[in-house]
Amino acid sequence: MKIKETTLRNLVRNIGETQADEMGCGDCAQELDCYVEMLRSGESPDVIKPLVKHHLDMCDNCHEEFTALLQALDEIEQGD
Amino acid sequence: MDQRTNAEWMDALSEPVDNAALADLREILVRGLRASLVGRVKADLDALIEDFAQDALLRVLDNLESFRGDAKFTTWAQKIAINVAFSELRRRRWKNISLQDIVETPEGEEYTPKVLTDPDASPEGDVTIQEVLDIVYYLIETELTEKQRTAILAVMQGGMPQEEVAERMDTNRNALYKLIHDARRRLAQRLEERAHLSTDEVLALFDNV
Repeated sequence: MKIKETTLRNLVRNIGETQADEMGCGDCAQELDCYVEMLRSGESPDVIKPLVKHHLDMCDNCHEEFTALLQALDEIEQGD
Repeated sequence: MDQRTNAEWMDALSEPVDNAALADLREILVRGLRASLVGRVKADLDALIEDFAQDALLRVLDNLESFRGDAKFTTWAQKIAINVAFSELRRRRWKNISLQDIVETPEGEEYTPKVLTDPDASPEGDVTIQEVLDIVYYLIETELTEKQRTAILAVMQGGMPQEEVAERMDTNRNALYKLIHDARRRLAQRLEERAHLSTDEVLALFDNV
């Protein structure tokens, strides 16, 4: 096995952040619109939806789409 | 334009589809897509956005019955449009790259464990970062399946999106996440047994570097 030290260190951090109960990408995608609206209205979704928050911290693809959705909604709100 | 209630959107987009509502939704999706893609896509942005918006509209119409109503309809539709766009961009970017290409490490950059023998020995006293790295290296080789190792290396070392790794492993993004999650849990459990470190203690050890 060939693994870089940086990869190994990142993996150890990921191991440290691992929870017994984690949400998958599909469930996260289902919750994402609601989560983003809560975030934009000033609520604390990391408290109300901690599984979504944790998944977004662990999954680059879902986090990328989350960030993009925030940008899109900001733009739409500004144009209204 | 976005003044319709969720019920009004649902009604307007159900058969027979209200073309004015469809045009309004398309305009909203185009604006949102432009804002989210403008810094990420360099060439043919307008054409791409048009294609993504069209595909997203079809997906929205096909999935109207799955809208639960716990967010605004336009937020739900925009979420779908973002997913359509980013999935396609990932597919295009990685289309000619194999898993084998991505998991190989250039010679000389691979990690070399300091302790190559006596893998069952537990460290004595305070565990060092070096010892944790050695143990995890050993656990990756001995405790994970070939699929788990490949998935972790492809995502974490190669930077390949999980969606793309999943396709090459004949699975889906959700199942791949679970595969990696199971691997992380296994490693966490075995690391705790070997090094007597909880996940919080592992994080604390590496946060102090």
